[in-house]
Amino acid sequence: MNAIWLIAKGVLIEAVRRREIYAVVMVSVLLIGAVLTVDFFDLEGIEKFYREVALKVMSFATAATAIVLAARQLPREFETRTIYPMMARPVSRLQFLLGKLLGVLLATLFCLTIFMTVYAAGTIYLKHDIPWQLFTQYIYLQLLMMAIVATMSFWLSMILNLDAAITISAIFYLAASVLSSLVTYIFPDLNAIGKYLLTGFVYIVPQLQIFDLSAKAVHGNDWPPLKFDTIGMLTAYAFVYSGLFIGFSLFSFRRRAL
Amino acid sequence: MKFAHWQILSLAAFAMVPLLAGTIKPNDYEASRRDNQTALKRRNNSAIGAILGEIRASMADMMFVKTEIYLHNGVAYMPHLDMEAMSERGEIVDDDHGDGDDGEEKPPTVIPAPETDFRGIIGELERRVKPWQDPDMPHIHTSGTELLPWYRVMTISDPTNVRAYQIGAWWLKGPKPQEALDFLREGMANNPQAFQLPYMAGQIALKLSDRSDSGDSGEHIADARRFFDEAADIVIRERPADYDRDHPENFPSWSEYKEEDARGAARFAVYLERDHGSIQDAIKKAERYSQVFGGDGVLDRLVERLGRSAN
Repeated sequence: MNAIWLIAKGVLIEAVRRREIYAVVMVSVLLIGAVLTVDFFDLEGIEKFYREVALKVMSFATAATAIVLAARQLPREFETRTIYPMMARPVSRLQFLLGKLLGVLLATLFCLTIFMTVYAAGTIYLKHDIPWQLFTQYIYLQLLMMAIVATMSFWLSMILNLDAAITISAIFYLAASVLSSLVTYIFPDLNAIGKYLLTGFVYIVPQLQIFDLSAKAVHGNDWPPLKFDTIGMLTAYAFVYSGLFIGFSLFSFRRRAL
Repeated sequence: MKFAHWQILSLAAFAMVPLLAGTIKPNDYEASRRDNQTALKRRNNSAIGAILGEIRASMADMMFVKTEIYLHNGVAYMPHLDMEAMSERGEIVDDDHGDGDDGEEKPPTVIPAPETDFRGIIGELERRVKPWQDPDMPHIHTSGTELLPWYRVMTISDPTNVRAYQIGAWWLKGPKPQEALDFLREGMANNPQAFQLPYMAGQIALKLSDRSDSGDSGEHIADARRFFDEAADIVIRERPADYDRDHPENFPSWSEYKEEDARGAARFAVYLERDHGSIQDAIKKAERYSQVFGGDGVLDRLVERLGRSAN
């Protein structure tokens, strides 16, 4: 556990020291700030728009950070040969991967914390309410989603080059909600084979949209927070898929000659 | 120093930018859903303008879908609102939000109901995480004020989106009538062919004159007259000369709503002329407009009555 924590700490410190995370944060903060400055007819009670834009910007920026950070971890270790002294220590490859994952998730949480601080400051400035329970659940589900995306990026970075891994992960993240709507639209019009294939697709490919609580958080005054059993099921779902991707990454990692 | 082929091509493309940029006229493009087909053909003659314009218009259309979701408290139904009715009357015409036992087909939700969702547990989780309610349940409609930022962004994205100006002004006129007028003025500047905008502006100005207790009622009346006159003038220019009210289906660019509003604009122009101008001018206007519409019962009766009172 200590080894995992040490590796995670290394990833987090590196992420915090590197400038790109702040560039993403800066651009996002500017975007959120720009929304704050726009005067919509001097009206009050339009917090949903602010919430919507802020949450979208936060989600995309967090995903971009997580994908780039995760996809870069393993290739760079090989490139800079820092993997060799690491593997010479009593650290298993699984611990190494778990440490990297934990580090990426902590960096993601770091990003989300900055965003939430900016968002909360803006909300207080606008004298709006924050549905805290929904927002806490939103952040938790974002982390679960990022765990799936990050582990997938690990695996892709082991079997493809870095650029391809980042691109495919980003496309997968961006297309998640569109694909979800698409499958439900086209399902009734498919023949039996098509229906089997589509059902297989839904169960094989992780469905990221089920972690996106932003719509409820936007209209948060009218929707209750999720119940514990729902959070539990989503956690289990994320664990299964992250575990699978970690397994695939481990398999590719083990096949790689050190 | 040697340049690679791609670098030379990139430089050449970069050098072309000013030439291409010169052909782009952002406000000259109208999306395919617009009404006046002749104007569409005339305007949309630039390929780049068409591509950029269609992206812009598509963004605005996506925002319309977003406003439907906001209006239903976050629940995404298949788009079913009559935007034209909303833009002309401000009514939320989704005839399916009754008590659920009227026998009519309800618009389905984008996330399917359990009995039609093949995704099992995935669908169940999505229904719990996203705002969702049984499509058979009565729809909940929220305040239109929450939608206003979207109409603002929509018109920034696509200044030729007349409906966005209309619906935005409709929601805005309650809490902020003066801002609604300014919003419509902006719309008029960007869409000089849309009579609906000055027509709506005239109605708002008229309401302001009723409410006015600071002595500027006369100013609002003058504004209202100008707006209705402008709307009626545009109607004369834009209305298909052979429009047949019994067969509106033959005129896709001129809906029944539009025809009704066109007549409304003309009648208001006459009423205000009668009440705040001269009777003779009111008669002239009424005769002219009635001729444009190929006869209009209200205007014809008005001519008759005004003629009698003038005599």
